[in-house]
Amino acid sequence: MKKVYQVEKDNYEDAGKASTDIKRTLKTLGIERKVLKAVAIACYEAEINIVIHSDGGTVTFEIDDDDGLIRLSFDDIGPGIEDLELAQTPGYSTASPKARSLGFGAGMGLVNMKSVASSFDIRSSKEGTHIYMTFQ
Amino acid sequence: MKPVIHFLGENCKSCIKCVKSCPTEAISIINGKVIIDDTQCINCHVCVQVCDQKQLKIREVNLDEAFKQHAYNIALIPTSILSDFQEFDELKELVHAIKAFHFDEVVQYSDIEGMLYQQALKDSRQSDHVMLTSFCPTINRLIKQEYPTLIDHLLPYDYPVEIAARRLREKYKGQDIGIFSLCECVGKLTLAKEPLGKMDSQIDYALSISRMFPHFNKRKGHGKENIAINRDGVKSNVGDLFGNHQLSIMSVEGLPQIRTVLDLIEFDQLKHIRLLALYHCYQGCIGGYYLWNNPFEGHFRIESMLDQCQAPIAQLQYSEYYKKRHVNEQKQTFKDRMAWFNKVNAILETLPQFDCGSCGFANCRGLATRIASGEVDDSLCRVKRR
Repeated sequence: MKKVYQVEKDNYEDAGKASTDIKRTLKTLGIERKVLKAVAIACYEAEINIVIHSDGGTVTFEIDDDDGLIRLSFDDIGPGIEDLELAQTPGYSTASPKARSLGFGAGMGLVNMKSVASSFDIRSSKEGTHIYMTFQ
Repeated sequence: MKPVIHFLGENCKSCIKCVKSCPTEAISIINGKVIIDDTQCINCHVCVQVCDQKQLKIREVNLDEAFKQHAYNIALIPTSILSDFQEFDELKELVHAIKAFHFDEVVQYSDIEGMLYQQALKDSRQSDHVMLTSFCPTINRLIKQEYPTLIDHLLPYDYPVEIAARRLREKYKGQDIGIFSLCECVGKLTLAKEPLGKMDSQIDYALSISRMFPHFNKRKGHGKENIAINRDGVKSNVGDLFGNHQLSIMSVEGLPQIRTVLDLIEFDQLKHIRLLALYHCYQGCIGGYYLWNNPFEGHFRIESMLDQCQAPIAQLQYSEYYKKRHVNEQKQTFKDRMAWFNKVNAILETLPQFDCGSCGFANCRGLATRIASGEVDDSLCRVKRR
């Protein structure tokens, strides 16, 4: 099964809707609690990142019909992350004052994703950022 | 356990108000009959309130029979009842009246609630994530069914009323006692052997306190009897009084708000709150369906009586209040569940997805699920037939 969600730049009202829907689907499927928790945390962080930092993008959710492997990809259209290594340092954040005032952008996003996902891959250029995670 | 709400049937118009009002999509109407799925119902009784024809009823104990069963009858009365009174002495009158009506003893358990309130403050301080209190049976059911990842956040305490009953069993060991829990809400009715069949409960009968009021009122005004209430026990029953912003302790009331906050916890976003008290009813237990007065004045009144609630908290051992929380186990394999999910989705694609409910199911997914199981076919869909 595969589902693609559009995520808009700076749309804080709808931020988190894709994650909420993915979480609901996984609950309907009776996914194990530990996996469900990990997906919820990572997916929400990554979705919010697209809203705050990018010019918009998509969340793609896939679940393997046979073995239940969950794949999440987050693809946005720029402006990209300048220093990937720095961005993965705990506490480092480039979030705008507006985002921070709404409680986002604590600088733990990528760190948290990496720690809960079974596999984590990130690529970034000026054209956009792509995060690919799996959960099992 | 038996379902809390049952369908009478004679005058049902199949208006689907109950179907659409149910927050957990537990209700469907098939062939003019309202069916409540007990595995999904959380006993919030919204359906009972929206039914104009009064065709949904909450199961009740046969009182006359119940009183004949035991040599010595004990009434457990809820702390939230205090919100129905203007002054503390009215509670003392009530206790006297309850004893004039078939009960040999009246027991109050705010001392246990107070102890667990303090224990919750203590335990949440030692936890690295937000903890949830667990005094509302309806909300506990919601969490178990819809938020299984949050079961570890629920404080592992038994219900105060159950602990109180267990203590009475020990006190009257070997004697024939009947324990009656007079309830302020529908959720609490589930915590007893009768009428719903929770056979591992120490409480024999649970009944709505509003049903008892006529009996008690007739006998009021002839005397008073002392009863001790604990202040923290009162606080644990009232939404606003539970909170303490300095300690980052908050309360949330009502299902939509509770769902929002539980979603945030699942996303690991609620980082500055240590302890959350969750109540299905507005203003907490004082908003219980069976309390006569409104919770607005009730809150005002109960707060004004706090100074008279000076009883000490109960001394409880860990083993007396601890209760392990169970997680619902999956019976099917993942592959089977996925195949079922895909089958339902394929049927759903053929339906209009207006979620109008006129087929008798809460939404198109509900109908698709029943088509998939072979119970009904898509001729029930009025939009498709049009």
